[in-house]
Amino acid sequence: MAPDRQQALDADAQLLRAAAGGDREAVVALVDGNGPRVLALARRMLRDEQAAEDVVQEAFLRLWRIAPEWRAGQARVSTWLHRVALNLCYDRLRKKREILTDEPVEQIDDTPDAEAELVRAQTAARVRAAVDALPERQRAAIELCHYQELGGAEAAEILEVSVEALESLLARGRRALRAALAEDRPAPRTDSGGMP
Amino acid sequence: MTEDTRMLSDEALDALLDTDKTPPRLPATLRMRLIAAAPQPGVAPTGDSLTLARNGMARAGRGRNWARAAALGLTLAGGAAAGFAGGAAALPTATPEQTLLDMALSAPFDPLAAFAEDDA
Repeated sequence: MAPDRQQALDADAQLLRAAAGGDREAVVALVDGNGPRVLALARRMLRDEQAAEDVVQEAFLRLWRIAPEWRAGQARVSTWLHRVALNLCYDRLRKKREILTDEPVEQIDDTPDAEAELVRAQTAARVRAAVDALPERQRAAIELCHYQELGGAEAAEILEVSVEALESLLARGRRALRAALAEDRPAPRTDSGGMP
Repeated sequence: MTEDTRMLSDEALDALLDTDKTPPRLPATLRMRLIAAAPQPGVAPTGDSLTLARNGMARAGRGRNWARAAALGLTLAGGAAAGFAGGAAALPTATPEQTLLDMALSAPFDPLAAFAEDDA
């Protein structure tokens, strides 16, 4: 195991041991170190703020419950949390197939960057819809590797697949996205637009 | 197999995906709930207590007396050992998160009185 990974693993495990003993500083460190990213994953998977918060709460509740029995070396706490949160997201998605999307709200704004921001928001919404339309596992692979910025080995561990299988999921997901986003991308401008 | 030339390049796809990227941020009320649910000697957190905590905070999130309801949520999540003295005058306005956590975990609390004040 690489030294950096071992160090991170040990740091999380030490914090969890301390948290199990009632150390509030360790609890805060674990929440602050892992909570935002786990919530980001749940938000992106569920597109529902309340549901995402419920998932994070449940994931941490499970972590607190198993804290006294946590064995150092079995997994990184962050990996474990991502995996639990992802499985909770799958459960919710299966129960409720309809995907909620946050449409960008058009606001009147006369600041110089308003138009650029509107274009960016519209592009983001288009990307979001394309990612949401992917099959569940491909979507999870994109979320973990691109948005959570996890390495292949850790993402594969969270998805409980081999690195090769993860790469296949990623390749298929990216190919589908490239096609979907190319289809409705705006036509390129043909005018030169230059002034003599 | 040749690539469809109409498809985006990898770089273009990454750039597009990045438009929907936002930095992760943990709402203060959720952070408090997670901290309050952590292991405490002699107190076992339960899903029910966390639901109560969340409801307390949802009530708070509508803008009125959020600090008191947040403290109530923490109290319910933390069990009988946790508490909050109640009383709007004592509520802090600066760095409420940590202060409330400290208060909720250190003082006795009358939830009915707190709700009565909240509804007044």
